[in-house]
Amino acid sequence: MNFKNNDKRTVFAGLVKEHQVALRSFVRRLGVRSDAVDDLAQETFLLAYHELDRFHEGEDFGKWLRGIARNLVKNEMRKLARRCRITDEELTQHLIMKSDEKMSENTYDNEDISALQECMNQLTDRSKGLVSGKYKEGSSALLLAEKFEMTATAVRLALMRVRRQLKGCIEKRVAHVGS
Amino acid sequence: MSEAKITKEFEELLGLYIDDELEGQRLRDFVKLVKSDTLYLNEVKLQLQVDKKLEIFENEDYFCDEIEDILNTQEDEFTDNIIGLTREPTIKRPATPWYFAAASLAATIFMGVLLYFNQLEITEEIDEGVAVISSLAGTINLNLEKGDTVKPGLLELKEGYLSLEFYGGARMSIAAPAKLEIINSMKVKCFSGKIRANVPPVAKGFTVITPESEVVDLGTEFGLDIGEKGETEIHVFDGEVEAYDANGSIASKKLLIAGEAMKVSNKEQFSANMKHFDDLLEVSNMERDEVSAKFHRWKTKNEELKSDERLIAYYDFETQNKNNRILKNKAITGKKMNGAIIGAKWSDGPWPGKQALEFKRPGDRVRLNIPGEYESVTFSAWVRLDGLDRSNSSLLLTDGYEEGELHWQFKNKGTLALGINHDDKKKITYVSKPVVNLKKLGHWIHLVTVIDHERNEVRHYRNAKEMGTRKLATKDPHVFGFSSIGNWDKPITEAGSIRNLNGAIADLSIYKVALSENEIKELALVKEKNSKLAYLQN
Repeated sequence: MNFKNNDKRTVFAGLVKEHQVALRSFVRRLGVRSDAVDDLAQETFLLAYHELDRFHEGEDFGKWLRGIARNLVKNEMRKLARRCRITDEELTQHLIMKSDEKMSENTYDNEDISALQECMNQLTDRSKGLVSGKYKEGSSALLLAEKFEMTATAVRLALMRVRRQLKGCIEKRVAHVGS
Repeated sequence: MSEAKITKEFEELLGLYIDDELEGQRLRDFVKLVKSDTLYLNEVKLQLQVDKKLEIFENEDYFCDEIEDILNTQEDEFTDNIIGLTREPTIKRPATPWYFAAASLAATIFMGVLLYFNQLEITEEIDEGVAVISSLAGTINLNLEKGDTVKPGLLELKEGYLSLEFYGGARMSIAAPAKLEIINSMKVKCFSGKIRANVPPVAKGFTVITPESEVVDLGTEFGLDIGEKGETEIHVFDGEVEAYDANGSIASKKLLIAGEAMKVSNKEQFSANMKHFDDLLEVSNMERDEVSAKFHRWKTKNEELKSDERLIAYYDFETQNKNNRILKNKAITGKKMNGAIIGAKWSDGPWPGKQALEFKRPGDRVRLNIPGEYESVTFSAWVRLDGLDRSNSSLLLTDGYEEGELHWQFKNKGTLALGINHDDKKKITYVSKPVVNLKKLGHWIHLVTVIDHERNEVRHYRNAKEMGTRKLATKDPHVFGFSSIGNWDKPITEAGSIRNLNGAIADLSIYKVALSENEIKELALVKEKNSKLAYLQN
């Protein structure tokens, strides 16, 4: 990328802003532990910054980032387990392999977050409470189970249904905007 | 067409996997299922993707700011070293790269990245040093400190004294003002200054080049006095040296033996003046005096703090009996906030005579119970970090992470982080610029984090230097309750990573006010640089 007329840092800050949500959710999709996703995504961006001169304008920056992230995760598997940031090596290998096949899929849109806002409004109060409890308050399934008088398993299943519902809703909205 | 169905059993396993709670046989069963059918695979991908997006959506996010901060501090080579992104020219190529299948233009770019990663994978940290700073009682360029490795390059001692131990075996003390160029572990150029070299037999041949001469030591001890214009005097105290002219020509060789001295410009010989170099023998004594003075200042401050009513708790990590497993709260709030030491061992602190607790194993911790609600809070501690082994390394963490609770810890990039579970269900981590790096591990540093409700800020400091200020999201009261120093006691219902500290703590205080910068300087024992040797570790 040529920076004659642009400050590299300014351009890069814009790219981080544009791609960070997509990249972080992509890293999570590779089976990285939830508490390590942002660290790996951050390392991906820092490497991308160092290599930015090798990136050609007009190419797919998101795809390039995902390539870096994928290799960081592969490196992670070669490390000793002491600081391992993935839950299961075999599963992550499978997720990486399958993500290779889907490289061209445009499923990492940043528009998802704004669509998510609208889709959240469609949830029932109970579902909103569960989402808020897990993601805002950081409560475990057991704590939520106590609060909502459910079992921990029921909490996890309910959250899974909510995520499925939200995904369907986001896709519809993004497709609608696109058309 | 897949005939598989999303079963309740699969969903249960997936739910646990998302919560990072799936392990053992159940994890193996889950992996087997996911690999057996794309229906399962797609469900895993969907759930993980939305899981992360919801986490981002529901929380105040500093991801972009943190990247900006790290890039701002990369001039110090901090981050590159910590996350293993060094780009050393001597990196070897991998023996069996796995990426040669890539072919497209995108893959060309991609391959560079892969090569980069493979290089990283097989490359160990390279030590480019040729000497170690064994004593320092002065101010030196490059922000070097005692114990640091010195690489080939220019060294400027602006004031005081410096002692180096070369990897080749020679020892050299230098008095300011001095300018040197370290060439390798057996050769130094000295442009000005006064030096005294001690060369054991193993380092025979150690050479000092000055603007007027080249001095080769043939064993034991000599001194050089080099004026501002390069005029050089050689004094031999023991053994013998060969002195050559600046070109190193054989014809100019002059052998000087113990007790002899020579002015190089006119070859005038006279008796070696050992007294002229006596001050250089005192470097380690001077350093010891300076360190003792610092400990004395800490003791004075320590006495003051014991009656400071603004302290919530104060642990000075001093004990009469090393079998003692109670860490006493020395603030006037008293023994109800004494800590119970678990696993951690008593060891040496930053200054001779100062004690500390060393935290090494996953079980090591000090258990506390700190009652009350607080507005502004200041954390202060003398800490030695020996490794960044974990995603988070605890300084002081409340059990769990309930509303109002605080988590003060290191992130694995060497940053200092204060996590606040705010009212209004916001959990925010206020992260500093990197305060430690791999080349600075093992040093004692003073760390402060201030939650300032008046100025609406969270501020971090290293050795009283500001290392990052963040806007405070909300001004709700903060609580501690059951907490741990050097570790994290999470509720048994919570999954989470191990966060034990790999290092030592020699002093830790918690204030119920936001301390000013001057007060932080006092705690960090930073002395204004008005005396000849005011510096050391700051």
